[in-house]
Amino acid sequence: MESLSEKVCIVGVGGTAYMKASHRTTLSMSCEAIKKAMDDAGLSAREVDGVAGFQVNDSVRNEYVAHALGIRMNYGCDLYSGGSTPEAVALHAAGLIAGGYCHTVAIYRSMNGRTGRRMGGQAVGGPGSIVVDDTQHYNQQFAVPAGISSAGALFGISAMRYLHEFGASTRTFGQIAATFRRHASLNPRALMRTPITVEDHQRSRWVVKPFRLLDFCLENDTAQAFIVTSRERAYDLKQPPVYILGGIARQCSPDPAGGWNYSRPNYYVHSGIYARNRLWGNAGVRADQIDVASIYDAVSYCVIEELEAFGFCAIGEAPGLIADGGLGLDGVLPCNTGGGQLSEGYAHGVGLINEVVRQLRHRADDACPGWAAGRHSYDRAAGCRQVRKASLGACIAEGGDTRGSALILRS
Amino acid sequence: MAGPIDYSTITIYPNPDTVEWWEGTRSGKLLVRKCNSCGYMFFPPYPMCARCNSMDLGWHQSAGTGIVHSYCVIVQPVAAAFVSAVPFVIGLVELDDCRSPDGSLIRIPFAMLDDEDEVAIGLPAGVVFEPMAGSDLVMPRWKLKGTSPRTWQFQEG
Ligand SMILES: [Zn+2]
Repeated sequence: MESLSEKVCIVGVGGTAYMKASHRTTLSMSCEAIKKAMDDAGLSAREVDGVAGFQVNDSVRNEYVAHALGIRMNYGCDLYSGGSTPEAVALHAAGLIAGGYCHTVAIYRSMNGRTGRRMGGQAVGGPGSIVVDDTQHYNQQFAVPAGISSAGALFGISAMRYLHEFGASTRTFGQIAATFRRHASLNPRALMRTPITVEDHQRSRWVVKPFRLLDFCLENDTAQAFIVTSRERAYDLKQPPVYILGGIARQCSPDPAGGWNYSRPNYYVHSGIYARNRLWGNAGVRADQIDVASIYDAVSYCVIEELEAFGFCAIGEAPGLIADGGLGLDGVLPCNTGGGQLSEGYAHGVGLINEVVRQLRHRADDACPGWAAGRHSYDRAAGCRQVRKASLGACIAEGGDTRGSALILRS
Repeated sequence: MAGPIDYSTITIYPNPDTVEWWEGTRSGKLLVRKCNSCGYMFFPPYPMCARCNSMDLGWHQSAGTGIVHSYCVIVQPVAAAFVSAVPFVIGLVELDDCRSPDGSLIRIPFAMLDDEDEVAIGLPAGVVFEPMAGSDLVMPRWKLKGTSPRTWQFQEG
């Protein structure tokens, strides 16, 4: 099989603001996000021929988005699927582009995740009634009456076993939250920019033990988008191309069972462990070569299980890496450099990818006057968010303990 | 004791794969699927055996006892059903009598009747059946039964 490595690039990124209340339709927000990504790339709507979205809860279907933008599609797609989906859709698009089935694809996630439909079945005004729909999530009729209707409950059971197995502490969760918040304080797009300490984390209220409020991603309204095209087309565009070296699209564990794989041995080990050899082998790089990463953070604990499963450290060793400042801008694996979904905003992972692309271009939009030309001070106290050496990037993501995706990128 | 769960705000439609499981809870039985071809036992009750792909499936009635393998404590409810129940524990219990020929086992999470300061990993627990107000369905819950020399409890620091 011929390798697709470096044949397809991410050439544009963009999004709306992360908002507490958009007062807009998901169509309106998706149009703005894709237009900004096209402008970033230097593309017109006539030069895009694919539109692919994904959702759990609200979104807007690709054909309306294409119509509104004036895009004539050779490829349109909507996936019902949440965290770890944008990496997968990018790989679908890479295959289609390499095959000549289309040439330039806009990938988006648009959600009124705070004022529309909230994750976990919580109504806008507070806890609501639930009519179990098992056509999409087969196990819901057993999970919901057991109390499992949120990501917090799902990950909480896994995290509790992890704490037990490794004698780990929730202070590790706090170190993750504080690190990402420090990054967000350097990001003008971030919703939450006031720095926090581990003590602030420890004092924040319980939501689902072992998780406190500051362990959770934000709820917001937003659309975020990015654009992929062939390397031949990328050469003519505005930005330095970011090449896709490889990836994994929604891999799973044995007996994935939705969020219900509790019978698997060591089930608190994320499913990425089953795919990492294929991932790094195809990409032709090693985890320890990565300069900057995004790690999907529905809750802080997710970062621990993804770091370990995808091979950035051994199982049980993430707390040490994190305590040593490993995820900071000058650490061994700068991670969620825009603040992540804990502090920048939540778009089911699209915002995480867009930040890695900005870093790999060396154009993190920070307080450095010359950022747009790639000139940075690396002075964190002066507001620089750019990672010093950023040529290899990894976007790691999960949709529960049982499923994950990745994109390995190079500038 | 955890407060009551208001099941009337949860609507469930048992489907052809699950209706016999719900009939089981109504008569006080905790059932897991058992493959008639290879003996593999599993839960939730999917329509096919994931080990041999047989659709010739029966049921194994578990005694409903096991060991708490992990748990979490819901403090902030997201569903109306649990507003009066919080804080309550969701316990993941590894069943004593559901080991398959291939060595796999079954762990099931249900809401526990016991308070968080009583629950610990390693403690034995058993199933208790609770009618769901507003329907004719019956939902299992876990209740601690007995002690263990080796337990682990979440420390809040
Ligand atoms: Zn079988």
